[in-house]
Amino acid sequence: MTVKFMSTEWIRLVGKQWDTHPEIQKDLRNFNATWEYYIEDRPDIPHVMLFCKAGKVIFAGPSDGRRRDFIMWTSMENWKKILSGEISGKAALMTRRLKFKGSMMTAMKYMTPFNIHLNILGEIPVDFDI
Amino acid sequence: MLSRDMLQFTVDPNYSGKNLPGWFLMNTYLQRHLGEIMHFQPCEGFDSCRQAVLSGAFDLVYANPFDWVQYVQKLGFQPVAKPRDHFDEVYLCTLAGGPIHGYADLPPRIRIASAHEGTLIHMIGLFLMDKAEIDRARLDFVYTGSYQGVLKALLQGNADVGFLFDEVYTGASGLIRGRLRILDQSDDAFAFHAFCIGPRLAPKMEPLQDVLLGMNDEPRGQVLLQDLGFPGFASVTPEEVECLTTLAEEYISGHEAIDLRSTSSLSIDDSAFVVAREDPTATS
Repeated sequence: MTVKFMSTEWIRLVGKQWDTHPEIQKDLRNFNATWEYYIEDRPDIPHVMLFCKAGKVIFAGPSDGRRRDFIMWTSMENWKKILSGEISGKAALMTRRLKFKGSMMTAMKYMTPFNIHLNILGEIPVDFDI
Repeated sequence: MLSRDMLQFTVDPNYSGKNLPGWFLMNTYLQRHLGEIMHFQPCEGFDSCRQAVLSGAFDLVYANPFDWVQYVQKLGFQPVAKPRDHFDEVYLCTLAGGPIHGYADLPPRIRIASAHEGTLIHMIGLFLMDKAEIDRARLDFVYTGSYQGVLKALLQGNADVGFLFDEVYTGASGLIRGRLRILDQSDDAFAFHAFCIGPRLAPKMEPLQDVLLGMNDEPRGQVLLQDLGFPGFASVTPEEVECLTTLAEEYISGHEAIDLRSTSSLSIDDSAFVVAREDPTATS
């Protein structure tokens, strides 16, 4: 079963999928942050967000106006490439194909979990026809 | 005093103590291929090198990432080439014959030898310590001004841990490496040294880039690359410059990664942390 990309259902499944990855939970055991995703060329699609506390996702849903530590966005075309693994997380960041606002030092410090987190997004079967 | 009639070339000070003849040969190679007379002048320490470049004393620099980013921003230098498939990484080293085999063996107060606090290597070294949940409040730093100084501090027992640039560790003699134990190492593949040119060399940017990127295509270039320990050179993209500039600006202006309060008992002001506060629709 597929869900619509960047929907509330999709981000909730991402949150659940996170629980199946003990390595990211271990790597982020000291990490507490919120971050938001959106599609640059689809302003009609609401933004979604995750809240990670001590490595666990404690909120996955629509962006609700709380402070965001990071914001990540790009075009639908690039999202497809990132989710399919055609572009790695590091390459996406370094080539600015994934646009990023927030602490670059933190992104670099956690480059391995950052890559795993993008893989997790790609593990959810999605319908890009939105 | 350097002659400003002639083009001037220098390299990051971490190369002053190793393979200097190779860099003199590199200068000769570049002069021949560019048809320009250029003087090569190594620098002794990070501060003096940065100061000399910022004062306009050099036209070509092979610099560490946090330095070349500053040259780009402050002097309008342009990065022309970086080592191919080769990134700056850090080794955390201790004495092989000493009591420290792992993080758990570190003493309550930890003496760290680091070449300079304004380097990427220092920043990544701190990140590794944070990830191992070593409280930054336990760290006492000895700044040695060079990576050779870091080696010396370790070997003389004046430091418990050294933050070593990976090229310095791998380029050290077997005898030296045999006296060191690697406690941890980074594998970020994120930042890199780069050749940068100043305004006087700007008209030669394209030919210089062609020479550097084409070194692997001819025998003399291949020998020189082998001598200097590089697989070849590649171009630097504007996006890489933008990304590393953001990273360097954050670090140099005193910011910290946002998780630091979880592993450190140091008192840290909120302003140390960069967050994406803005409305994203206004920034896209």
